[in-house]
Amino acid sequence: MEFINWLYSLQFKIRAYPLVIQISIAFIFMSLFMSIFFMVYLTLLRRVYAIREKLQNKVAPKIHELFEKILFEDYLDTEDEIRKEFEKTVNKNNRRRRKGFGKKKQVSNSYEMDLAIDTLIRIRNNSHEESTRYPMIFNALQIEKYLGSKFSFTSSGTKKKAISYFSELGMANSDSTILTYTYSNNEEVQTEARLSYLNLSKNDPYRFFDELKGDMTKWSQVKLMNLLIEQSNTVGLPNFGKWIGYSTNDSLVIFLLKAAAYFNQKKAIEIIRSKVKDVNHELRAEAILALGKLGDVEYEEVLTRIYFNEPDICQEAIIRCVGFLATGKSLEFLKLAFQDSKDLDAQKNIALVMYDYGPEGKAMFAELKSEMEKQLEEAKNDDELVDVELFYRDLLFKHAENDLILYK
Amino acid sequence: MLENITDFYETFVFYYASAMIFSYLVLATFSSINLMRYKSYNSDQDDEVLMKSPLTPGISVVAPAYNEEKTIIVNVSSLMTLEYPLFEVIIVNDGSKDKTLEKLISEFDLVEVDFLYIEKIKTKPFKRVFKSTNPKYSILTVVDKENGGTKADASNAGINASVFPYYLSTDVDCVLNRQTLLKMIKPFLNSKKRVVGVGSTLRMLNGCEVKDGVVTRVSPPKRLIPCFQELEYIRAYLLGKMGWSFINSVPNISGGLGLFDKEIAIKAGGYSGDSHAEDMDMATKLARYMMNNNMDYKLVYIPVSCCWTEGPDNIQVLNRQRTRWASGLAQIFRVYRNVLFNRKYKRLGLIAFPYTFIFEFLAPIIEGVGILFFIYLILINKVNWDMAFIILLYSYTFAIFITTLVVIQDHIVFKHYKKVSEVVRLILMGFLEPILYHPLIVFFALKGYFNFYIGKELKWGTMTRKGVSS
Repeated sequence: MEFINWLYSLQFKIRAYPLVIQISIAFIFMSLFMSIFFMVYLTLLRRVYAIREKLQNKVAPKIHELFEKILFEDYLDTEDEIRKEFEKTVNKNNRRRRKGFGKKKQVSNSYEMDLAIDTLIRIRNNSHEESTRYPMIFNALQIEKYLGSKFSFTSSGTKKKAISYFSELGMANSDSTILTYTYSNNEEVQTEARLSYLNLSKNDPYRFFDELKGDMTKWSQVKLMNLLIEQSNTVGLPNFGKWIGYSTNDSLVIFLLKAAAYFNQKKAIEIIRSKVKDVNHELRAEAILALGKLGDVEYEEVLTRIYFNEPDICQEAIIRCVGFLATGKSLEFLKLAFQDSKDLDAQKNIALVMYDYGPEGKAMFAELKSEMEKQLEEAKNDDELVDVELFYRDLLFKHAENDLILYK
Repeated sequence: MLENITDFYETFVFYYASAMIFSYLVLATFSSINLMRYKSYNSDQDDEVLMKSPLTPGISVVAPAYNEEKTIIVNVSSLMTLEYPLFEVIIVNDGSKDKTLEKLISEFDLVEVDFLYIEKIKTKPFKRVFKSTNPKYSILTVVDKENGGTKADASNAGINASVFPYYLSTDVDCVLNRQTLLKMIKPFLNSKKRVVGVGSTLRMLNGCEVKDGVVTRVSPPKRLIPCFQELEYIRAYLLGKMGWSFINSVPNISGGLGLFDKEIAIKAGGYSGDSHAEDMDMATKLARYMMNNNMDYKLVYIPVSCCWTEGPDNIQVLNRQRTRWASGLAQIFRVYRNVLFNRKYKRLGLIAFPYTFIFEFLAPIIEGVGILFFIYLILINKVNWDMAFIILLYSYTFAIFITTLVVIQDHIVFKHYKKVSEVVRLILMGFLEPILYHPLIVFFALKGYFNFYIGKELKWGTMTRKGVSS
């Protein structure tokens, strides 16, 4: 009773304090309340993590084993049997009974479902064996319905994750759901949806190449390239030359130039040649590199001719292109480019290409090197100070031919 | 007259403390949003994507070493086992006086090679480069140079010797998470603006279990000083830097771990060779360069704990470290005084730099004066103890609130601590920190400012290490 009286009188005392003290007291109570709240929250959070960890350690290996048996050993014949076996594996029935006694043993079905989906993805990505039984598991666990529920009233992150799940599971039926998000205002969701659509749809999957606005991020390029690699092993790829030719989005064209080179699309050579005249230096350099990687030997002469009028980035690309082509026709060009260059980095690149340019290249490399050594020797004999440029050029040759230096 | 001064100081301190508390609340909000956003849009599967991709860019890991013979072998081995498809490790021996270089040569079968070292950034004289004859260590390069007196100078030499477009600046005494490069490169790739630097959370290695250069079990340090620092680091990274990252105003990227765009770093002039706060120096230089050239840029922080470093475990070593940091901060404000309150530098000049100046640089001075003033008031018997107690509680309870918040944020990122007792210990540090640790930090900071003022020479690498036990 006394305490309540004290508490009651406290408010009058506080009112009598100056405003700054009143504010301080309000803050003290807020801080105390928030600290207690956070501590309780932390306890709950740790509890949830502990249960998830337990599930991850104990149940995940069992789910993995079950799915592998179903997929590759034709274990269980019907979707109903699969569902029951899965529930048995995650101990769902026992958990319900215990729940009745007020002991909830597992966090939620959503975590179990996510665990099951992650397991399926891991098996799909890592297994060398093919299986036609994935749809049976999808249907038995109602994965499409479960992932579909992630689109209602959820954060963009959850939507993005659900879209990537659809894609990684190869659930082609979901393309209509995904299509809705390909114009999402959230860029992360939009990108994920477009990549997934490209992966899953059979109805004009590359349509977004025509609709891309703004620059592609490098991350999109990395993901798209991985997807294209996968598709090149399964359904095959279209000729990227089409988009390289007419797309006005430079970042897309640069990516497609890389892709065309990577997938050795020789049919695109003619269109790529036209890009060597593009006004964008970066794009032009990528086109030159692509021609080198695609082995367009007929165009080598044109490239060596334009070399001295190009900016640094394109010059470097031409040197590398000549190195890729290694026709033996450009030795004199390399020598000239080397002697003309004043930049050490550029000289290093030329020397490296020369060194790997077959036996003739090596011979020229040796010739330039011995010339350099002679000049150095003469300078030393004449007791002259060694010219810095000469010193660095000498070092450059030694650097280029040293096999211990992995990345030159 | 005295009464007027007293009134002014009391009011000033109250508003100063309240402004600081308010800024913490804003940062807490920003960091929480940023953290949840990071959790939503990033996953471990991204690492696999990068590992498989032919487009993943190469990274040079640059780690300067000065008198690190105790830990050098374990830590270099650890750096070479990072998970990433394309990277090199460059160790810069900054004229060590102990057996750092000899140990490296014998352990990794190193031989001197003719290496085209192009000095794009000026450093103290470079001596030679070593490469391994053992193919197992082919990604390792050791650069030997004359001692430049700072980590900054050694880092510049490492950048000069690197080949890839990005470089990771770290310390050899740091133990990195295996996925560090994978986690830190993603912000560079996933942005339409040019990202010039990415930082990540550092924690204390003291108390952790390490096997083969990998942290296998994380727990807060058992000793008091490093345990305080564990809490201090988590708060600084998760609450502070994640908050600043949200509004693209990161004032510094830790010297212990930062991934940078090499081209911009070189164009900006690299680290200032004489800087003792190379983390803030580089971040400021990058931002200033980008703004001077009207280029959009981003400096990003990610909440993942990627780096564990051995912290001072006694007051003497803490003294050396914090005095050096404080001198470095003073040096930064002298060198970059034209950035402070300069509209031309937008958020950097008008928010991040002024904030650091007012609430980090000036705080120890204001606190120091406050303590002296308080003692004076006690002596003349002018203290209203009730009010003083309330004001003290005001700051103290807020400090505890922030502690519990950052511990939660840390758990949301990843549950590092296995035992409840470990979490309790960390929270307990939040209760003790304002009383035991904070006064020390204030004192060392003032000492650092004084040393800087009298021009006392600073040296890097004075941290005494015990080495990592496996």
